[in-house]
Amino acid sequence: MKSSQRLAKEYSKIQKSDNEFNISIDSNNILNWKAILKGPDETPFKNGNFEISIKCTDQYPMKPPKVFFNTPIFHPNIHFKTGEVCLDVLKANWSPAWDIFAICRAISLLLSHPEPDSPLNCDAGNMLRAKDEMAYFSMGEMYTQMFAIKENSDKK
Amino acid sequence: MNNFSNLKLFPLLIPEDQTLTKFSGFIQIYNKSFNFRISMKNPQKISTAKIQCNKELENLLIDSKEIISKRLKESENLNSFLLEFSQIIQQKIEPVLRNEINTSFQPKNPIYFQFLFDEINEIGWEKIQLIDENLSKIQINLKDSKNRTIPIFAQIPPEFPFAKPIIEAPFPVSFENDEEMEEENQQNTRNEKITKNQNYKGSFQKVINKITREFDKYQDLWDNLDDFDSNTCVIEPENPTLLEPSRKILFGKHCSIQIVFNIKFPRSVPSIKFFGSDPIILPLKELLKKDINKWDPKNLVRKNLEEILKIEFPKKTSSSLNDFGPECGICFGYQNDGKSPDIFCSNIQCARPFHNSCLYLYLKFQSSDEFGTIYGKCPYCSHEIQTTKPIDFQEKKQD
Repeated sequence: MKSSQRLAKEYSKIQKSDNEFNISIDSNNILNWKAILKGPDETPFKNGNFEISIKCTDQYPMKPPKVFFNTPIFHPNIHFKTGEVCLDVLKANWSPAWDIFAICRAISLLLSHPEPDSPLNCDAGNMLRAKDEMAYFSMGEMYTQMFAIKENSDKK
Repeated sequence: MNNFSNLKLFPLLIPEDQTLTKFSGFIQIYNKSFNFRISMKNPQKISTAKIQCNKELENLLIDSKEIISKRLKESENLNSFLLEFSQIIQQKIEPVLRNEINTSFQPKNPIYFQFLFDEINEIGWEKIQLIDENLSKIQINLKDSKNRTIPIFAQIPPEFPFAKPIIEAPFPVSFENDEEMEEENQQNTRNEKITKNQNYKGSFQKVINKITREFDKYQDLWDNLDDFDSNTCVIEPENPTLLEPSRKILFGKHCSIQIVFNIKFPRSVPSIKFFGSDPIILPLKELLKKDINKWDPKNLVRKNLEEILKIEFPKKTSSSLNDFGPECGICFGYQNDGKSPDIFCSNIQCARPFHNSCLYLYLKFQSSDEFGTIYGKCPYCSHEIQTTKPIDFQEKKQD
């Protein structure tokens, strides 16, 4: 109950703002949210639209929500197949001070600032650790082209 | 022949034969009647009786079978049992009936509408703010000499005009409006058939006049309340009216101050309670203690407070509420089970408010509590924060 009440408050606040991440509630369950992140400039994800799903439990905000990428993405901290995200604030460093909007912003930042030392995608991590920017960019851009741009244009 | 006395109290219950061991018929509770049959082997031994009843009654009594068999054993004769029995039904049916009254429109005596209409005509339709769909609750807005609106409520019983309406003037003090109403009521019952020209005349108006006469006594209090409502950011009560003699107002960083007015002497020192982070609140408490003798009863309470505390209360603007709102930093709500946030981060830069229960629940995930106190870090600034286990904390929340 408490979690829904808080999420409802967050939602009304997001609706009042300009909602830059296109955050919406998924399928009539206020615990499940969706957002669309735009690939930041100067990253392999530029021009891509990445859909993420945010699943809260009834222990929210005491426990962090689970965040997954629905759109495949080639990023060291995001699992390519499952879409799992490795982000400290979604794990040990969680605090109720975070909200859905802040999570979206944190993930958006993660896209432009990958942490290759705790990789979920070893290939991407290794490329960055070897400082092979060219490989990282070309792989990233290819997958962005394949999933994040094409998918979007299909929908349109 | 004892059994025949049943017939007086339960006229719809008829013996089936001359042995007087079997009775069938109806039992009437309020406006409902239930088909029901009772049979005994021996008219003297009520404990052997068996009861059959219709579905409706059976459903109603489904969980009172034990009581009924107990009453059967205890009762001396059929009559005393039936009295007990009807009482059991009565208890069971009351909540059901109450629901029905709430959900369905009950046809009323035409005289009800006639009198109500006359009453309202006398009060004046322009004063009626709201009439509910059953025509049983009316909100009347009264004006005082300064054109302030004071709502009062009239609850009209279905038996009106034979039963008196209940006037709720949720005033700081209660009114003795009963005397007059009582008189009216007695008159009404005496002359069972009243016509509107004779005995029944504008009891609403009388009560309203009486209440309006009292308004002058509260002018000073209302001046003060008005002053707070228009010049400060009131967070409690949520929709402040002139009827609540207290105000909780927001000032500065997540801090608030609760003022409960002295109704008789509104300009005297009210009871004051601070809510907020200690480093902000403690100096204010000191100031108040030190300079309380500077309180000038000629001034408005707000002016006195502002002068003594050397602060200016912010006006109600959305930005002040958003940035330094009084809401709990964890559940983002203000009221939680009727409680407002009562724990504040002692870091003066942060000063976030939290509900005791929210903070306890969160800290419990981080560390264990020691002797009822739990230590942890503020979710916002990581400053050390501590709380105690709320008295009414529900253990199941942790599962």
